[in-house]
Amino acid sequence: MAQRSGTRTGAGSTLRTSGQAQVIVVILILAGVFDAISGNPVDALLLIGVGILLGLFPGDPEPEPTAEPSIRSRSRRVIVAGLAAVGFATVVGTFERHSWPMTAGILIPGIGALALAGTGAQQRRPGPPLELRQLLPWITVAVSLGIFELVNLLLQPGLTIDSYDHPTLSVLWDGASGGLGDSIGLLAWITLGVYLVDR
Amino acid sequence: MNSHEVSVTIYGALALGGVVVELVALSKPDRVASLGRALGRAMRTRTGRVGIVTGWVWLGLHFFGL
Repeated sequence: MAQRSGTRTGAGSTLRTSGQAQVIVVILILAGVFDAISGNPVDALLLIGVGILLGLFPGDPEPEPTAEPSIRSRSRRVIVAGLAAVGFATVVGTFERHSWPMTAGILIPGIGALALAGTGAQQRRPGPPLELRQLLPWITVAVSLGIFELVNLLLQPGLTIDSYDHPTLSVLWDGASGGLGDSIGLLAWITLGVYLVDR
Repeated sequence: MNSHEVSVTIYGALALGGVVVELVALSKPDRVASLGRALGRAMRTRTGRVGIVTGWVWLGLHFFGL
């Protein structure tokens, strides 16, 4: 775990961080409610559960890490994580999509990563603060995707009834072939998770 | 072009938009933040880290789980 240096203090910073935390809690709970309405109880339980936990136990502003892992240490971790990711995708990819075994295969590393995110410190320096204009292109892409997904969801015959004419991303994914496609998708998913935990 | 094809085209355009934004960010980091930098800033607090990781777990559940 990276060492910590001095503390970042200041009422403005604390208030800003607290406000951002509340926004995240509200987003998680709202998303969970909509997931529950859409017939996804496990997804909803995850989002609402984490939202409530974060609301009850908010984190304090943290000092930034002073040292990042060495290149040698990082390379070793990348190799181990890469092999583990390929093994995970190969094994879990054999399970049937939307089954309990597949769900368990997602939840086990997912809950482990959440525990690490909740108890560990940031591994790398977050870099200098960003201005809104630097984030605007990403916000535009993300909001456009969210709106288009929502439009397609609302154009379905019902919230729990898929539509070929107005597919959401998950409907498109479900239409794709399983087998190797699942293993590749799982490999991409677990690789993203390793990257996030290593941030 | 039917509704399905229009939807797929729009999803493709949005994905392409993300790739273009990342490429611009890599060439002009002072103007646009890369996805890695944006995530790094978002994950500087425990709430941010847990929020982002929850989003990742949700992706897995949504596309593969029950």
